[in-house]
Amino acid sequence: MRPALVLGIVLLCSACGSDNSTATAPTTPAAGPGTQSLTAVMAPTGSAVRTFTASAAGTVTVTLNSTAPATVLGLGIGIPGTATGGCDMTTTVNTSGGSAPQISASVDAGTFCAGAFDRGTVGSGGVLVTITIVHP
Amino acid sequence: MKNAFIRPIVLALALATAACGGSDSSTTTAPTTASGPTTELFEGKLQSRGDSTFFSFTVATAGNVSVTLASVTTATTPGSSTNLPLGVGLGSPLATDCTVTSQTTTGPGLTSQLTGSNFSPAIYCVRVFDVGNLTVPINFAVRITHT
Repeated sequence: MRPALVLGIVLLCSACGSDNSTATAPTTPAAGPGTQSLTAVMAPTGSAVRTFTASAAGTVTVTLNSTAPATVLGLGIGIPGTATGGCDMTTTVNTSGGSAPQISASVDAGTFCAGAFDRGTVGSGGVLVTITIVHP
Repeated sequence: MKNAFIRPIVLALALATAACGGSDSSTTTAPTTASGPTTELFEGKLQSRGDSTFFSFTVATAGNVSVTLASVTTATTPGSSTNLPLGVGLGSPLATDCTVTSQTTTGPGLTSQLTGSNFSPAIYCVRVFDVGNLTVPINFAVRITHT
């Protein structure tokens, strides 16, 4: 075999080397335990709701951390629907907020929602709410 | 002399192009994602004592069904939940009705209160009904998870 032909074949094998490249599989973000927060200015008769996904069965806690000005609000947890702020509430409490969770609920894996709503106490200037949701 | 050197290289490159061409024309198969359970929302109202209503859904592949009475609220206190127990049943449509084959009386929660296994592909229904506690109209929401 002539040297030039050998050189050509070597070039050929080198060019085809890309077949040995490693394919990278597409990755899907994994759902997992987490903490979601929500800060919102809520208008009179309004609501501030956030949807979240529990990756496994477990306990969810919902905390109305603060309201400004200080106000008693409804705080609830439920499933996405057409009721309060797009959330069909399962459990609700009336609270002015604090550092300890006001709601603790057992859930299956799935999508849920939680948030605050006006019970007729919010003035025309609205209320600033901060909510924390901890889920499995 | 020059041609004698170049010709084999051109031949080799032609072979190379042909050899590599095969992989370029291969068909790429998109990764498939297994479909999970389907979740449906059944929202409704019970107006008075003894009232009931139902919702039909289709099981596409054999599997389990779980039913969660997730919300019961009254129209008099919008947004506020109540723990009023309701009847929740699972069965099959019959004419314009829902024939319940399993049922429970339960208050609202976020874990399933009624489950069944080995449902064959077919149409099924969930019935929500008052068990004698209703004094004011209520709104409810039920989550149905099935295959």
